Amino acid sequence: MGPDRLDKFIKNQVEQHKTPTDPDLLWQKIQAKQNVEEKPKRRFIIFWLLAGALLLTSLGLLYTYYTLNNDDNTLTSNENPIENTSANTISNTNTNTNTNSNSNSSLSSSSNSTHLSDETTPSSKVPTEEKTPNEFANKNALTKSDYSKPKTTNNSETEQTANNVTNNSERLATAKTKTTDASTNDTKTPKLPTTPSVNTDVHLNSNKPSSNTSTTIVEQKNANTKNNELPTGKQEKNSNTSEVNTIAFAKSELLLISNLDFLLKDQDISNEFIENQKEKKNFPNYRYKESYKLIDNNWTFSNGLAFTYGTAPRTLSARESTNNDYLQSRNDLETSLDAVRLNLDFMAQHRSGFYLKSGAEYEQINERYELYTSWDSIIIDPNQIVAIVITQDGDSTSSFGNQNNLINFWNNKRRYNRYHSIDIPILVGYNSAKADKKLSWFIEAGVSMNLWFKARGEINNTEGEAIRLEDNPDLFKPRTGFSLLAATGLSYRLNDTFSIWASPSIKYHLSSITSKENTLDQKYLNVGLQVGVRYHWTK
Amino acid sequence: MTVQDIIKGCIKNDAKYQRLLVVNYSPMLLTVSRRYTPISADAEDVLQDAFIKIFGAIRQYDSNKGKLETWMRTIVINTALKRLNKKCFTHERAVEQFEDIQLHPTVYDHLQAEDVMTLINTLPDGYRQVFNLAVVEGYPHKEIGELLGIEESTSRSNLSKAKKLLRVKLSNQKKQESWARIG
Repeated sequence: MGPDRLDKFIKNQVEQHKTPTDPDLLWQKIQAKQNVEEKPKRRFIIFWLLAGALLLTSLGLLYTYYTLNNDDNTLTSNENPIENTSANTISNTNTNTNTNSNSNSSLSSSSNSTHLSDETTPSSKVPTEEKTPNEFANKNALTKSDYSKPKTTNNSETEQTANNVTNNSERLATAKTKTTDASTNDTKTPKLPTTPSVNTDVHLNSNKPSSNTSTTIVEQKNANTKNNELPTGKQEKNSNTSEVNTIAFAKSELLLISNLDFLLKDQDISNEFIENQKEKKNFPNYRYKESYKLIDNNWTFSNGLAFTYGTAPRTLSARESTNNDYLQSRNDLETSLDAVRLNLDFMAQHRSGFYLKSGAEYEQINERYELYTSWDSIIIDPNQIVAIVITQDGDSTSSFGNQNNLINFWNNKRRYNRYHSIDIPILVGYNSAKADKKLSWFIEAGVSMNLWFKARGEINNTEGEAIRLEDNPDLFKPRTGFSLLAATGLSYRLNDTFSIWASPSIKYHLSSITSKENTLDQKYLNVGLQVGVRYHWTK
Repeated sequence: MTVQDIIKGCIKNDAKYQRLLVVNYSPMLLTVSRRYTPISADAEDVLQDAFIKIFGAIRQYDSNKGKLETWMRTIVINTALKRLNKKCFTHERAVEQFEDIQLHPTVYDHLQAEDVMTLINTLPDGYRQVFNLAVVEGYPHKEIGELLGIEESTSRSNLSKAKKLLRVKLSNQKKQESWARIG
């Protein structure tokens, strides 16, 4: 017989051979597997929905935080324009009267055009205007030591201002005098005195400005009589009208230019400072300080990541008294093991120490199911020697046949049941944190919404048979519930940004995790030790 | 109810028709699974997985290209092969060389299908897969090599060794039966 014969024989025997099987049992198992394979998709969706919600919340909070921070920066940069309304008012006055002051417009638009054009009612700004230029000048004089030069005047700060003004003003003031219309300026100049607290005296040799121009800035009380006449509006039209108007215009121009100059230089200094901070890697702290100032130290924000490990003793209760035996068997077979929780939160803490906390929490409760079973079976062992026949010749022959063996089988089935939920806790607490102390205590309590989304493992059914939870989705449908939370512990601030904490934590589930189809209610009390790390967005 | 009706029902994801498919074809497909997965529980697992794949992919079945039975057998075979570690094919333990035994025709007289199945399952994994694919399914060696991730020559060699080993086993079985009868 050749090899082909063997091949054909085996193929014929095997190809159409049908193994006896229980199709219904097979079908049930296939259905169970299909359910298990479909479940992860559902869990996946729930997980991503929650993750998305958390991400959106975080992004929203971050956006709010940075918006506030930017507002703070805007306010800081607006500080100067507000204080310098006097200069702006003057410039507007002149713009209205002098249609040829194009250079004015062009200068304004370079950096502060908005602030300049917004000022249309100078009188309303009088209180501010009377003080701010000096303050501003002082501020700039203090910060811009590089620009200051020694002067013989008593008021050194105003000298510095004047110094700054002079160089910039000479050129423009000269240009304006050539085109100023005296008659129109007459009607507007009385507004001038309401604005400046620094009286600028400009002496121009009308058409020969640059070489002969001298500028002196003195305090209001030392201003000369001639200039004081301008604000009162009692000036008379005379042959010097043109010169007066020119002087007034020049004053306004000087103030405008000087303030612009300060603004620009102030901005330069700010930028330089920021750049220096960046190089020193101190820039984030600089920003913190700004936001800290903005929120007026009332609220601080932080994110925390925590891990809790503990026990989760359960309470099983029968919905009907007829199920007490089943309840007993479940308690006998299942043992509570442990529980873990992983928590990501966002916390807003008031300066008083009270805080609000919310976020997302994953919780897993572990149990052990142990079922010992034993049974006897008769195993038929074929082709065994059942008899040995010894002939008279002394030869022995063996007799073969089936041998029945009684064997005791036992099985200790051990499965680990796991119940999973995703929670959204909302907590209110108090933290004793103080600026000079790194260690603080806290206490918190709140409620949590639970979404039980998965149960795995085995339990006994009411018939006493072991069933897989995955195969019986009716027993543990995804369902929501509520739980109470409480914790108290210690927090330790590592640095300005991070802190760690540890606390005993307790979580009582108010609702049963089982579905209505289940004959038993299953509740848990989760007690554990929580450790976590917190990132502080603001100091 | 025709096969086409069952297919249409399965396409609609109708559990009734899916169950019919399982009832009608599971005995035959379980045999296929058992030939590749000797352990009974594993064979059933493979069959369950294969049916889930069949339900998912039944839209892709084209009756013009072949019989439904053949298409499903292919899925079962692929599912079974995926479960096996391919290393067993490349690092097959050395099998002692057997001389090529010529079997007497009476060797096959008392052999039933289940006996043949048992005999095949005694082969080492690598030999068994190649033997099943080549002899029972009729796959060419090139395709077997691609399926199992082995060289074509290895496939040929494994098939040859599998056959020799089967002959030896059949021969030994015959001897045992003779002894039993004498006894």
